[in-house]
Formats: sequence, structure tokens, C-alpha cells
Amino acid sequence: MSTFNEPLSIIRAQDNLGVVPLQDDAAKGATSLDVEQSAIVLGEPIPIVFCRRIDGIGGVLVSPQATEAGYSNDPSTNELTVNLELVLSEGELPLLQIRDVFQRACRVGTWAQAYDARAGNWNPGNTTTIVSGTTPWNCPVYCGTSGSYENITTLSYTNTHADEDDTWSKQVHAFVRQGLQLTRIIDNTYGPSNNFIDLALYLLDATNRVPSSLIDSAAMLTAAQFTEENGLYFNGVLRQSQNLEDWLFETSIGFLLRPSERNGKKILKPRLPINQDYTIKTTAITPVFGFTEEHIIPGSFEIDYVPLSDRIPTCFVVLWRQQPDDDIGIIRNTEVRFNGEALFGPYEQQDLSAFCTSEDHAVKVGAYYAARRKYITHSLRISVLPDAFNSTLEIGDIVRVQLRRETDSSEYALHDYFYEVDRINKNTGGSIDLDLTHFPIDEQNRSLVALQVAQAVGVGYTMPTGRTNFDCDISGRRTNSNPITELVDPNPPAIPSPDNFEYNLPAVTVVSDTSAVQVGGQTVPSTRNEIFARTGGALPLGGVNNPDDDITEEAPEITGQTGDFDRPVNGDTLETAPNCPNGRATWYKRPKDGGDRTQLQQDDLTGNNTSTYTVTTSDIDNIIEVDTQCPDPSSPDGYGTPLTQTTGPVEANYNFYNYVRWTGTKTTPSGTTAYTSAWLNISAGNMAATISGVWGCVGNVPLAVNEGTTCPAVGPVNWRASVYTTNKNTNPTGLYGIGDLSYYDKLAAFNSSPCSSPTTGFGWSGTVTGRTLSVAGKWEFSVNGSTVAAEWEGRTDQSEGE
Amino acid sequence: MKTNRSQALYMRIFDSTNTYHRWQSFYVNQSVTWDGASWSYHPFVINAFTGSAGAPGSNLSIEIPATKQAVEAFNYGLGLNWLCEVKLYEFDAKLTQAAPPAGQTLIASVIGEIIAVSGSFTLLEVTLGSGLAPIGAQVPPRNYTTALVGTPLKI
Repeated sequence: MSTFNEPLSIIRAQDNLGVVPLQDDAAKGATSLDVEQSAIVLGEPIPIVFCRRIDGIGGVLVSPQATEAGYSNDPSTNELTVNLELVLSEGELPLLQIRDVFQRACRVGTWAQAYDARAGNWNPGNTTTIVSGTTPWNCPVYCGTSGSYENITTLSYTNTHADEDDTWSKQVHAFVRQGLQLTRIIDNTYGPSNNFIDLALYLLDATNRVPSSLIDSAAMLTAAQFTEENGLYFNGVLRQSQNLEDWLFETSIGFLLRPSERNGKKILKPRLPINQDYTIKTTAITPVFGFTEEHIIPGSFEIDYVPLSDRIPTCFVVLWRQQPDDDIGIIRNTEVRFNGEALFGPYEQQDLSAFCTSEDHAVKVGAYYAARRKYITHSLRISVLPDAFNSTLEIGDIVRVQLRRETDSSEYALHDYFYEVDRINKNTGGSIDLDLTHFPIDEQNRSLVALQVAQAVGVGYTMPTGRTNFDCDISGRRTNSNPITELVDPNPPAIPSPDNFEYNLPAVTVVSDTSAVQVGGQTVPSTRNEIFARTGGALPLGGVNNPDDDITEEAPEITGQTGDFDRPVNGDTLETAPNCPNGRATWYKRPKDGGDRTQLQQDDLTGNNTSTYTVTTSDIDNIIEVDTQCPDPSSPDGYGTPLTQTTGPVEANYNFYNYVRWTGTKTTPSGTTAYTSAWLNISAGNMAATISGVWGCVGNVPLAVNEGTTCPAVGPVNWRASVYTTNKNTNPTGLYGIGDLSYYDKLAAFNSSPCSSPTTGFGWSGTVTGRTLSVAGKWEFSVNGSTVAAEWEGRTDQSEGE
Repeated sequence: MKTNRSQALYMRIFDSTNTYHRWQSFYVNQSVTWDGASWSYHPFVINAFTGSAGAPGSNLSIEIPATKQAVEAFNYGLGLNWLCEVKLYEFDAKLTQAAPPAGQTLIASVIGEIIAVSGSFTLLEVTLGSGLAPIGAQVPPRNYTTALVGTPLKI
């Protein structure tokens, strides 16, 4: 079954099938001419003017906003001189032409242009005065202070207005034939561009959010060639702040492109099949793969037909801009419908006027909408078994699905269509889920949509602009294609340092260590301080030190242990007390190597009395546990949840005894034998005994490590009774010994060598992989040297060596 | 009909200077040589490689045990804008299971920035994609500032 969760109809909507604009509005590319001049407001986006006029097509009329103004009047005639500093676009634009600059609809004024600087040669300010007998000019008094205009193309506009002329405050406009300059992807040349891909790449780069390695340059070049070959050009202004992904998704259909990803890299891909020369393919389509019953996972077939309401014949009203060479452009529309259909609607508006300046472009996009609306009938979702297509199938490929539908006892039907792959899910389990959109064809396997779009061209009629009078133009300007003056203000107003408008967070020493950071054996570029600053800072100093929680109870301590390492020995009287009056204490012993515990004694206490337990020889080699409980009337036994405290393992109280001996088994290469040593006199006090570890018998030295066999701690480990060694490899050479008995004054402890005349120990030659040899037993203690009074398995580790 | 199709996943974590880790999840507890480099074993799971012509914003999700190496690598990767590439290879299992065969076929490949890391104490879910957020204004990229235009004209 498919792992796609969304309804199939969602895919149809995302693919712009039957999606009607929610709201029609005035053409986005329209410009109001006779309006008040607008001024910028801090925080507004800086517009990007992106266009390139070629062969009479392209360019865009811009209404630049003012940042500075200068106003002065003649003291005798009251003639007003208006200066405006205007922002044309981000980036560098070629010089405008004299015929292309307007105030209202009139080619008037003196103009200058600059890049990365202030244009013109005047200072902002209002110096108008009242002239007797005239109406005072009501010009703005906050006239701007100027700025750096970094990477901005600016315009300076100067004009004079006779007394009483109320047009002084009207908006200025500029027809930009050549917009923002960049390196074009098609010819790798710096200059203006009208290619949508160039704009997309510029924006992707300008956001600083997508590294170039995540953009598929080859696919982008193909898309650029496709739009170029088919005359789909962008001539517009990007002014409204918006999300780049959304903008790409919504705008790209106007260029018959769709945004997608290939191997994680961003691409824009033609929505129609194309030839090698990037023209629309109108010949037979060969599917890349055909899916039959052999491939489709049973039960995965899911189909969704486009509802009738989304398929009724529709007239697409496409808005675009007609741009004469010597006049301000006008908004046009072209109605695109199938011959004889939707003569009186319904109408669906597609507004391309923000960027489309060609009737052919508008008609092709309209034809694309209309053909898809008419021909595409359904979407399909299937899951298929892996096959030869595994490595090649990708988004946009054309596939065939041919299935035999046997739901009738007398005849069968074929589900046999071409599809375009809209979504593909390559599961690591092997199966592949596909969302497919019907790809309608004619009887020659040619794409019906591609055929309609390829042959769609505009009528070519040029609509009159409705303007016949150019008297307001300065004479000769309408045909003057000379560039306006390039003038960087030689004496710009003083502007404050940018430091006055910034706050740079100071660098902080996160870590003082300057050594390189290594990950996976590689040195991470940048300093350790910078890396730590960007990845979460340094680790906290010190340990966790939380205040005590008065609510949480700790188990009460056990006192009275008198043995080594604070362990209990036989004869000790252990003592504890519950954390409350009238509690209960229950004593247990548990084998020191684990296992079930055995109850020894239970005391129900009165008041704050304590509970005591006397350790016996039967407790040796066990740990002692005590459960303390407080009264709880709601509990069946009248006591609450126990708190458990434990001691270390109980040891033999060797100070009680005069003699000790070792008894146990020796496991040698020849087999296992029992052995018991003679009684050793320890009555002098401060005496101890031990079983030595592994020795190398060539040099007769104790071994801490050896490549042939494992080695227990050398010690001497007081009262160690058992040692083991396991051979790590097979090697016939080597002489070893293990486990001889020593007894001594603890102030002069030593290990007896098992290499010569051993008692409990033994020697052997050679190693055999995995073989374990041992001397394992216990200590027996006696008062009289004949009766065993206590038994102890002894200690095992180095820390117990005292 | 019996299929001998096996699929092996390879992951590479890198930046413009170094490759920090090459991991594979098929050959358990061993390092293998493939594509001229050594790939050590580190288990990770990817449900599916998804490509879509529809709405933007499809990302690849990786589940990986939160080992010291993985936590360190993806923490640095998220903070320092490292890239991660995941490739899925297919090969005939009856030929060999001991090492990557020379003729194995690349089925799917995704390269992306490490844009999100989440999960539990023992498991990380890493998302690869692009830093281009699906919501929020991004273009035009620059706005008017005081440094650029000073105190603007008030009309």
C-alpha cells in the first residue's frame, strides 16, 4: 500500500488542475499616473526592477519612491524648483533613456542617475519663501537627510513649476528598458536579463539561505533555455515582501515551469515535454516505463477523477501588458478558449500583467490552462514493485499504466493511459509509491496539451493607447533615446557613520582552550571558541548540587560495623532506627553474589527505640539488609513502604581465631583436584594470608598482564582465596604458575611463587585458547587448630588489599 | 519469481572543507570500501526518498541512534551549516553480501542541509532540506534602513 497519506485530490490541486483564483482583482501591472508623489518608509522592501527589452518586447514602468526632496522658489516670480531623490531599484541598472522618464504622463524635468551613490547635485531642504501677491507653496518641511544608497540605483529629478502650478507634487515614473544587471545563465554575460531563471537564481543567492551546492545548475540552465526558446520573459518589479518558495511556486506556472527538487537540489522544470533544442515536443511521446499487473502491488490502485465543475469549458482571460516603444504601456487581456466553447463564460482570470509583456506569452499560458482543463481527466496513485526503473524514474517522467480490468464475466476492459509522474516515494523496503497525473495524448501518442501550447500564438493586434496628445512633453523628448546624465553627487550631504545605526554584539570567550576541534578525525574550520559559540556553548562547571528535598526520605544508616573497609564481621552488633517513632525494622541477609534474601529478625519498635542485630558466622559472605518502615494505618500490616539500607559483605572476624587454613580445588591442565593446607598460626595478630596470582616462571616474577593468559591483580590481596586465569591464545611455549599460598604479617606482605615448590599453587607450560585454570577455595578459621569455627570465601579485588 | 534485490544506505556528513563521517547501515559492525572511501557502520533508517512536483518544502527524514558520534556530528552540522548526503544503492544479493559489489546501482540520492534535529535521549530524527523556510518573508531580500537612506522625506 502507498505510504502517501494525503488525499489524491490534494495532488490535483497542487498541480493547478481545476484551481480557480479565489478572488479577481485589478491587473497587478497597472500603474496610476496622475497621483501624488510617494515617499519611502523605513522597513519597506527595496524594489528589484528586472527586465530586458528585446525586439520591442519587454521593459516595465516604475513609479520610484522619493527619499529626499529640495524645494525653493524665485523671490520675484514665485516659480518653484522641485528636486527629488528617488530609489529606482536594488542593484545596478544601465542608464535610462531621456524618452523614458516622466512626471505624470509628461516627459519633463532634468534627470540624473547614479549607482551605489546619491544622484544629482543639490541638497535636501525647503527654502521656499512667501512672495507678496502670490499663494505660498505648501511643500513638505521634512525633506530627508540622505544615506549611503549602497548597491542601489538612484535617480535625481529636477523641475520647475510656475506660480499656481499644482502639478509640482505629482508622481514621477520611469520606463525601464534594461533592468537589474547580473551574470545571465544562458550566455554567462553580465547585463540585464528577462529570464525568469536568472531572477530565481538571483533571489536564491540573495537570501543567503540556500548554498549553491543545493541548486542544480544544469536543470536550471535547461529551464532557462526553455523559457528563452518559447518567448516566456519576465519584465516586472518585485516589490511586495513575500516568501520565496511561495513566489516561485505561484509565478513559475506563468513560465510553464514547476519548482521541484532533484536529489535534494532545487530545480525548475518545464511543465511540457521538450525537444533537445528546448522547443515544445509535439511528436510522439515514448513512456520511460510501462506498469502492468506484473508490477503493481495488489490493492494499491487509487484513482480520482476531476469533478465536472472543474472541467466545464472555460474562457481564460489572461492579463498582460502591451508596451509601445514611445509611450506608456497599457494593460491588455486576451481571451483564450477552445473554438466555439465558453463563448459567454464562465470566465477565469489569470493575471500575468506583473511580468508578461508579450501576447504570445499570454496566449501560451492561457492555452496551457485551457488544454489541461479540457483534456486531463484524472489522477492515479499506485504502488509498484521494484524493477529496472528503480534508478531512472524521476519527477516529470511520462509512464504508461496498462491494466486489464476483469470485473465482467463476458468481457474485460483496459485501463491504459499515459501519466506524468507528480510524486515519487522510493521506500527503502524496495516498493515505490507513485502519484500520477493523466497525460492526455492523441492517436499518435502526441501530448494534447503540448500540441495546443506549441501552436498557440497571439493575433498580433496592437491596441491603441488612447493617447493622442503629447503636448505636455518637452519638445523632442518622445524620440530622444539618449541616456540621461550619469551624475554621482560630488558634494553629497554629510551622513552619519553607519556605526550609529548598528549594535554589534561583542565577542564572548566561551572557551579559552584554543586547540582545534576534531570531528571524525577531521579538523573543523574556525576557532574552538566560535564553534562552541554556534553549537550550544561550553559545558557547565562543577557537578550537580541540588538542595535536599525534605519530603523525600533516605533510608536510615546502619552502624556498628567493625571490620576492614567498614564491613561487618561476625560478632558485630549492628544498629539502626526508623525515621519515625513506633516503626518497624526487619533484618535480612542476601548472598554477596546475588540471590534471594532471608529474613533474620523483625523488631516492632516503641517510641524512638533502635533495632540491633548481632552478626554471626552464618552471615559471612552475605550482605545484611534492613528494611525500616513507619506506621501507616491504611496499610494491611500497619506499616508503610519500607526503606532499605545495606551493608558490605560480612567477613570473618579473623581476630577471634588463632589458626587459618585454605581448602579448595586446583584446576590444572591435567584436571581438578581437592587440596587443604596445613593450619597456619595467626595468633600473633596483624596476620593475613593470600593466594597469589599468575607468575611467569622463566623469570619467576608475578605478572600484571600477559599476552598469553589473563592475569588477576598481583596484590598481595589480603585474604584472597580464589584466582582464575583464561588462556587468550594457543602457544606451546611459556612457563606459568598460579595460586600459591602465603601468610604473613600485613606490614610485610608478599606473594609466594607458584613456580617452585608450590603448595596450593601449581605451574604449567604453554597456553590453549579459551582454557581456564584456577585455584579456588575458602579460608577456614579455628581457635584450637583442629575445629573449624568459621568459613570465609575471602576477598577478590585489589582494592581490598589493605 | 524470486527477487535478489538488496538495498544499502550510505550517509556522508561534510562541509566545504572536510568530510567528517561516512556511515553505512547495511554491513553490520564492519567498515566497507566504496566509491574510493571507507564507510564505517552506523545504523540509521530512512523511510522513503520522496520527490514531488507539487508544493515545495519536501524534506528527507533520517532516524539514527543518539550515539556520541551522531549527537556531536549533527549538533555541529546544525550549528555550522554542514551538508549531509544520503544515497541508496541496489545490488544483487546473491552475488555478495560481504562487501559492496562493484556494479551496484544508485537508486536514490539526496543532498541537503541539516535543517532540523529532534528526538529522544536515545534516538535522533534528522531532517535534511534547505534553509529556505516555507513560511516567512524572504524577498525582496533588502529593506530600507537608516544607513541606506537616512531619515526619509515625509510627504
